Amino acid sequence: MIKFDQVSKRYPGNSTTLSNISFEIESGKLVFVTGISGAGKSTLLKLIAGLEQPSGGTVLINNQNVSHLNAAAVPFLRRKFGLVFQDHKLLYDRNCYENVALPLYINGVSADEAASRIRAALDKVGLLNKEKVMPITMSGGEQQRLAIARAIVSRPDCLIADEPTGNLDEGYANNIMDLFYDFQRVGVTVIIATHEIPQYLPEDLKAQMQILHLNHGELVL
Amino acid sequence: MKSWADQQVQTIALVTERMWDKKLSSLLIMLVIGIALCLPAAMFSVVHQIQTALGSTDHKPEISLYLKMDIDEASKHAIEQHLKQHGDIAEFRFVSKTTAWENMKEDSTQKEAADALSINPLPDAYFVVPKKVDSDRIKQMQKEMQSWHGVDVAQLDSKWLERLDTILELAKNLSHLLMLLFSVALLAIIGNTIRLQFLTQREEIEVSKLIGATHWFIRRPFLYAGTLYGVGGAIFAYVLWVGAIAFFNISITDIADLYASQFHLALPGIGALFLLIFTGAGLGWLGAFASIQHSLVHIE
Ligand SMILES: Nc1ncnc2c1ncn2[C@@H]1O[C@H](COP(=O)(O)OP(=O)(O)OP(=O)(O)O)[C@@H](O)[C@H]1O
Ligand SMILES: [Mg+2]
Repeated sequence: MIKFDQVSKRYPGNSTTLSNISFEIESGKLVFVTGISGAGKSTLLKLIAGLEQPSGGTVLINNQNVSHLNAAAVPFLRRKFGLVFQDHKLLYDRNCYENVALPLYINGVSADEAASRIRAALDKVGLLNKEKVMPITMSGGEQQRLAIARAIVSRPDCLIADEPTGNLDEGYANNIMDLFYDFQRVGVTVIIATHEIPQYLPEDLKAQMQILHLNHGELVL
Repeated sequence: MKSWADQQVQTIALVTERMWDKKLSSLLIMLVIGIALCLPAAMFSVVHQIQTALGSTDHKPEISLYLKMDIDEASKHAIEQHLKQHGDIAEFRFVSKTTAWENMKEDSTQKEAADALSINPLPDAYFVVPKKVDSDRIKQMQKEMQSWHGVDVAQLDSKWLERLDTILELAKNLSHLLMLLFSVALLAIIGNTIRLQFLTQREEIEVSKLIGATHWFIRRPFLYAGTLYGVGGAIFAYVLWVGAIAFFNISITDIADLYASQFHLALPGIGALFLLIFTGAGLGWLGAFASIQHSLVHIE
């Protein structure tokens, strides 16, 4: 479903961030992208979701070469993924409900249908009672949950999360990881960037697990 | 299709809500747009009305044909035939040299001059009223008549009218120029307003782009905002226009009464309102589009 072939990425004015990356992710996998800070994890995720274009090599999404997609087609590639950003990227002048509504609004979902989907997503992450709350008044963990609700509300086949448990205590982190595990169990491809493979990992998922370890922009097998 | 319409409705609701939140500044923008739309439109309309009013008054231009003193009957007859058959002539009358002479003698102001002369110095004359008040056409007619055999002088009266017409024509051209200038100003005003709004929503736009918003999606609310400003401005323009004309008509009554004239300016009709709305909406859309296009390039 996702295939990288000799992909490299260099930001303008920077040394090579990713070099010669080749791998394949099948549908329904639970993927951990690991590596120390600056290894290139976020960059890899951005290449998958079409937020960045590779400097070299080919990226195939559902057998479609998206390495040099024209600008008009990029938004439609991005909509295939549910994204949880490292810095949340929530809208702080909008309440929880409106934050989660954004992807549906972008996708042109009618207001009636959107309402039930938004509530389902908020319910899933345990924020149903905070519909009208502004995200700035919520804890870091709650904001992370809100970001996840926004990522899942348009029911993507593939969920991509960049260090979703970054600075949360262990109990809360496990809670969040459970959310992702649940999605993996219902067939969603889940790709998570993290410094290390989490300790908390249910046995039944290990068979579906795949690890992409990055070291200074190179894939270590 | 339903979802498309749904999105438009959602966007309009969002945009009007935002405008409502900033009532005062929205109204001010519309007022400025209104003034910019109203001035050239009203000016054009007023000039046009004065032109038509002049065209319909008694001050029609007249061409006086003074015939040669020694003209023979056959040439006179030929000229009469020419005049009768001429398509551009509304009416003409003949004043013979004898009649003119008698008129002159009867006229107290000219009596002395007439008495001083022993023989009649006046020629036979035709006074011709052309059909259309089109100065180019009339000038052409004058030249044509001048060339007729037996005509001494073909003289065009009401030079003043011609001159006024030229001035009005100039004013009309000026109103066209104003339209152009104010359109540019309008585009700049709307473009700048939209640019500032874009900046305050920049974060939202960037996030939207990251999760798959197309450029059209991002443009849409701004295009509606620009269009609504234009429509609001058009309504202001109409109100200002009506107000200005009404005021003018009240103050002109006194003068018009003095000259027993029925002249008053017509209020702009529903057609003018639609034209204003159409123009305002079009310029608003265009200004917003140009502005967003510029801003989008910058966030890439
Ligand atoms: N937009 C950018 N412009 C220039 N350089 C960038 C950009 N984004 C990332 N980099 C560089 O690419 C390298 C990898 O960055 P990346 O964010 O992918 O690392 P990471 O593994 O996600 O790190 P972290 O764990 O701290 O999030 C870094 O050296 C970083 O400076
Ligand atoms: Mg990162």
